[in-house]
Amino acid sequence: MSKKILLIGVLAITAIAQILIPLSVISKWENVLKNGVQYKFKTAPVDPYDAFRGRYVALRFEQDKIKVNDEKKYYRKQNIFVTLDTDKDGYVKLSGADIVPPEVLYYLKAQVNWTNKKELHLDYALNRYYMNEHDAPKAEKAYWKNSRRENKNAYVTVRVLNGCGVIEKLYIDGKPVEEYIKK
Amino acid sequence: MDKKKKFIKWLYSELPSLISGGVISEENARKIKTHYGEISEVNTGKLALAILSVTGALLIGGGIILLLAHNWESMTREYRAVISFIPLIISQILACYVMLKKRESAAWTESVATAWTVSVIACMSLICQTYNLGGDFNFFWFICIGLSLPAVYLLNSITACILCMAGIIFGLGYSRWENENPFYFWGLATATAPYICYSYHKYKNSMRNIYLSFAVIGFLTITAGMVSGNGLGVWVISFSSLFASIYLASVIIDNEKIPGWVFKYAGMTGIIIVSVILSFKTQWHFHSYRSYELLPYKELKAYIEYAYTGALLLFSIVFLFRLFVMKKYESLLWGLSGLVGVTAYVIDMLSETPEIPALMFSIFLAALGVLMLVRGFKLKSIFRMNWGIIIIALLILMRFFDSNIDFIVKGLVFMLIGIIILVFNLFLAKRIKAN
Repeated sequence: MSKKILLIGVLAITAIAQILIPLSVISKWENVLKNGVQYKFKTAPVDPYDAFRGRYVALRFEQDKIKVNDEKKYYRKQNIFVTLDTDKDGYVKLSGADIVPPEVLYYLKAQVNWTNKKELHLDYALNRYYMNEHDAPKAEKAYWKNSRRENKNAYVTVRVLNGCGVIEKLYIDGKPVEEYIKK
Repeated sequence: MDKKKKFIKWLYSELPSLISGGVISEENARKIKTHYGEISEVNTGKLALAILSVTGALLIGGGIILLLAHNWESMTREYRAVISFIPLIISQILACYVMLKKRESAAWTESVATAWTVSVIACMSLICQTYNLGGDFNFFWFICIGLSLPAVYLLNSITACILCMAGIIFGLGYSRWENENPFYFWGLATATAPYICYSYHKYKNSMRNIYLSFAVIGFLTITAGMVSGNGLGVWVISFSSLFASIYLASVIIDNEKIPGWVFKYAGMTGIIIVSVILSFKTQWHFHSYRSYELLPYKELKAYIEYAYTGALLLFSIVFLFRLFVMKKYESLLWGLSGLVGVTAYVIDMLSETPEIPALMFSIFLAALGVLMLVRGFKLKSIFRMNWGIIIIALLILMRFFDSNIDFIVKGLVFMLIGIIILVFNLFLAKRIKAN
């Protein structure tokens, strides 16, 4: 009997952990969505190869690089914290980067992708916009059309708080992508 | 059930009447049972039920997710988040029920554990989709498998264990592909090891351990492949040691019974394949350090490969020593594969002459072939003799590939070897029948 009670106890702890861990993820992201500041990230064309593609639009951003004084102190996959600002058109502008978190609320955590001529190329882990498998290919086509050099008409709104960024919506031609592909 | 098992079963059924008739004492009956051990019973009905239950659980789980996904787009974020937990909570309630009421039923434990594992992954995936989480897939997958792992222990489920092992393989593969840290997944692999040992210990000769054996062999072979390719060609040592260890473990477990039987033939097949590959001198041209200047052989991933290789070699040496102590000398030659691998590797490094290590593996294969033939003759076993003939025939054929002989001649030799094998088998079958 005591073995059974012990097993039920372990099962209860496991069940609680299995619910609490996803819940903590949800609460963290909900907090960012409710209290974070909204920034508009202009999109860029994506490398077309991705083994898992099909149910989401793969994203890349124009604002994914920043100048630094000494690129040698950074390495691939290193965590880095970028402070954000807004340009005259309302899009995000990277104002600084450091390996320690800044003492402000609204900054974004990223990883160094690669370094090149005093420039860091960053990965924000904001590279997927999920849609159903029916709409995702259409949305992806629309994204491609509107992210090229001659037709930059797509952007993503991201809420940012304490290093964490959560994608709100993908906009194409000023409309949410879900609306845009229906027209 | 083979003749020996049938006989043992009959003998066990006779024991009570032999004791009551005063033919043997209870002590002698106990000694007979200890000598022959338990009879492995493969209950195909239960097995079929378990397989059907697992398939049913997967289909129901998949169906629930698809039904939920149907109206997914029209739901608010909050609804989606709540719905993501429904399959998980149902699985947890079922797991509790199984633990309390159906713990002895393989069909219940296996199907509920499968549904539980799938629902943990589904819950995390749906939440990540809802919040458009991209990026750190490595960590996400680690959390999914880490949260699924308790189902293996709590429900004593081999299917959940195999699913987790598959998940760990996927995680290790992804880490390698993306150049990420694989240590999380090695930690999870270590966490599954106690359950595997427990299953082997508790259910000695059961069908579940056959499945587990296939999964363990597959896991070890695939992960050996995943860690290789970074260091200075040490895959030569890791693969020859891996299959030597698998074979030697089978002898220690007792390879006349399942799952030792699975390990025995997997080990033998692996040793033959690796030895055939390494008997080509071109393999040694590629493997030598001269070709590896561009590889990250001083980086962390190379050190993981060195550690993995060292562990496998150490296992094969320890098992070899154990066999020596057990005086099972007839199995020692197969187990030498790892030591042949490391010796050939060192010789190639020092001499830079690929012909020598290739020749060493050719001699090793020839010795294995002769050993199997001799043992086959001795035990009048056509099966063993055929293993010997196949090994020697493979060796001859591979050397033909290695040479610049005309295709017509190569074709004729193929046919000739085929005819020799057929005639030899007919001759042996007749001789054994006559005896």
